[in-house]
Formats: sequence, structure tokens, C-alpha cells
Amino acid sequence: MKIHGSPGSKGYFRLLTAISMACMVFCRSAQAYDFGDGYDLGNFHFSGYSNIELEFPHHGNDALSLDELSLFAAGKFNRYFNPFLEVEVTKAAAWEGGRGLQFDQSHLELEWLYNDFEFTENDTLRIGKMLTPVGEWNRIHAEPLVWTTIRPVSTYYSFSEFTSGLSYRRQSASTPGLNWEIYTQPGGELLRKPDGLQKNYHDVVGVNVDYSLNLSEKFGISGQYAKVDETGEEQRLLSIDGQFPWKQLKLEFQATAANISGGRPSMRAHDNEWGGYLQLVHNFYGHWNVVGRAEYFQAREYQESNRNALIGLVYRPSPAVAYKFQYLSNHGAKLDMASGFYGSIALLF
Amino acid sequence: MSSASRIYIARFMLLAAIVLGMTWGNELNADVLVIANPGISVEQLTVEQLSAIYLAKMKTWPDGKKIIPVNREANSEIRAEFSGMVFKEPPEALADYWAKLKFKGEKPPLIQESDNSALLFVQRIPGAIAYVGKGTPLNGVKVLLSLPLKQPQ
Repeated sequence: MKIHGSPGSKGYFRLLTAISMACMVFCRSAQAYDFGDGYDLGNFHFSGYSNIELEFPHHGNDALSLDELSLFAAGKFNRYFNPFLEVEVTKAAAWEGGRGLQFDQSHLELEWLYNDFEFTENDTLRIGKMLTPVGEWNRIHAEPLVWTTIRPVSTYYSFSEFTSGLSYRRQSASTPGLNWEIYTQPGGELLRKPDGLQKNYHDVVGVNVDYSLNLSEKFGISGQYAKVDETGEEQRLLSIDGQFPWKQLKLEFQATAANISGGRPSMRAHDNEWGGYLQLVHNFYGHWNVVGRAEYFQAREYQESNRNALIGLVYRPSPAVAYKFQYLSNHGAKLDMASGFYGSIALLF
Repeated sequence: MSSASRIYIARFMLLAAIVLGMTWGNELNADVLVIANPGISVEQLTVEQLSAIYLAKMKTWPDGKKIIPVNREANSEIRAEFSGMVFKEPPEALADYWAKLKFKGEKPPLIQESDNSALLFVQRIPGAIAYVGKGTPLNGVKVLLSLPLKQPQ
């Protein structure tokens, strides 16, 4: 997923590749295996995903990269010991126009590392590092499960993507039903990502409430308070998101608004950062889908807003495999976006 | 044989015929049968409870035993029928739901690729629940639900 990049040569790429390939081969040899099934070994379930991405921006170098290679293990032992770990290598290998094959942009990211204490079937205390529940996209965001190669700015820019601390989740016992979660990160982020477009946060506290009508129809609202490491700013965020299928159409949106105070006001152009996207996916033939999205985002640092529109095709022969070919048109502030063609092949294994 | 004995035998046969007829009727009207290991403490399930089990919202039986749901392979006809009857959505919607749930730490249902293998699994594994097609010999398991549900006469 193209949102940021940061150099740093590492050898763990080979190790994770070997493990992932072994897992895929092992999975393929298993009886009745389908992509996305993963592999069960005792109390553990192993799975992962990979994403190969093609970029043809109007201005800049063309590139082909193994953009994400992720492996995760979920353990289910008893009510009190249910560990989960996901590690991901981003930009593991890349070929770039004018530069040739590159291995120096890869870095390892710890996405999840936590343990769940299940007090009841519907009440879970989670301790560790987790993706923050602000919108569905941030919690899922694995390439095979999302419709576009380019991630909307509204799904990550204004809040802490990760929470290193604890959360308490109450899940509805039935569907339709209301689910809610509160979380806090008392200090900084555990094993934070290399510096990129995202800010680093500390003293984070938030709440998420979502209402699921069925398997694929839901509406969520999130609030978060956080302090920004780099600037000393305090921010209060409100976000809403939803997914609504109708016949062959799927409507999806997220809108965020953050009020920023403290720090050095002269360093920012706006005290309010806000934006949102609206996405429509139409299944027009078999596994073929057309996707369209429009987004507006006003970042705190820039006078000009970011306006982008995307249109493309997605071929999904199964929920675990996605081939995407899309065109992005960007106007105003860049925010790491560039107009051009993008394609990807994403696979959940 | 006395007339009282004849009446007794006739009543017994009539009762047996009614019971057999009811059972026969159930199997004929059900496209999918939901079965479970006989050791569980539940005799029947509602569609809502079944949905909760396959969505990882209900994880233990009332006696505390862990529920082990079994699913069929992704492209099987019975999985499509089951998904339509229980969730009113295509099987891809359930696969999509589970693919996302894996990222929230849940372990997806195990896959068995035939009625017989699902039946054998449920017979042997305490707490297991699965669905099989009509006509599957139901030895050593409990039938908790027949789908589609019989309409009241």
C-alpha cells in the first residue's frame, strides 16, 4: 500500500520470504486448501499476505516492488492466553526506473503484538501493540482485503494508526448488534515505524463504536485524544465510517475531523484538519469490479487542500486474491500522492 | 394373542409409524442438517445461535465446552446453500468476513471437504459442529437444526 517509504537495508527480508514461501507451499499441499485459509498447527493459526505493486506516476520514476510481505500467527489456548503477532516487510525489493533493482528501501514493521484476555465470550481485554480502531480501513488495511492500491489519506493521516497499550472490547452477541471499544496508550509507540508521512503520538486515549447490520453492512464512529511527539500539539479527533452494499454496489466512506492546539501554532496553516472519501465499487461481471473514489483532505501543515480522484478495475477471483489496475488524479497538496497509473497483485495465504 | 395385546401392538406400531414419518419428513424437507458431537449439552439451535457460532460471537457451549465449528470448502454447493440460509448472503461475504476477522485475532472455522469427513470430524471431536447435506447417514451425532426450517402446518 503506497503511503510512505523509508530507507534502511535489512537482511530479514530473506528470512521472512523463506518463511512465507514455505507457508504457502505447505498450505498448497494441504487438503482442500484455498488462498486465505492459512495453516493450523496445534493451537496456532498461521497466515499472511503479499503484495506486488506497479507504479507509473506522471512525474517520477516507474517502479515495480514487492511492496508488502506479511506473516502472522494467532494462538488460541484458553480464556487468558491468546497471543497474536504480525510482522511485515515493506518495500522488500524494488525495481525503479533509472536506478535498477533496489533492496535498500526495505524495513520491518511490527503491526500487531498482543495478548487477548477473554473475560466472557463478548468481553476482551487486549494488551500489547495493535492497530487503532479508527475506521474499518485502519484495522484491516491488508492489500487483498481493500479495493484500491492507493490508501485514502483520511484513513490514516490524522490519528495514531497504532496503539501500544490496552483496549477493552465489548462485542455484540448477535448480528445486528452494537460493538464498542475503549483504548489507551499511556506512553509512546512500541517499536514504531521508521519515520514517514505519519506522525508519532503519545498519551493516546480513544473510543470506537460500530453497529453491524449484517456481514458486510456497518456504521462506525470513533473519537481519539492524542499528543504529537514531533510538535507537542494536542489533538482531538472525531471520525465516522461506513460500508453499505446494495445489489451489485458497495458504498464505503470515512470522514475525519481533528482540532489541533498547543505546540507552535505558527508552524501550521490550520487548527482544524479534516477530510473524507467516498468510494463506490460496482461488480459488473463475474469477479470483475469497477471502483471509483473521490477524496478531499485539508492537512494542518498545508494551505492548499489535497483533492484526489481514483478510478480503476479490480479482478477478485476470491476474497483472498485481488488484481488491481487504477488511475489516480491528484490536485493540490501532494501528501505522498502522485497522479498516474498504479497496479497491484495481492494475495492472502 | 389376546385382543388387549393386539390393541397394544397396533397402538405401538401406529406411534412408531408417526415418529418415523416425522423423522422421514424432516430429512426430506431439509436441504442442510446441522450436526454436533453427541457430548454437547444442547439439543437444538436457532438460526440466530447458529449464525453467532459461525461469526465467532458464540464460542462455548452452555456447559463450558469449546465450540469447534467446521466449514466446507469455499466453492462447495452446500456452503453456498448454508450461507444463503443462515446469513442471507453469498458465501463470499462470509469468506470476506472471516478474512477480516483473522486480523482481529480470531481463528477461522476448520475446513472439511465432504459430508463424510465433516461427519467423522464431528463424531470424534468434542464440541464440534458442522453442516451436512440431506441423505448423509447420521450415526453418532446430534442433529441440532434442519435447514430450511419446516414451516408450521
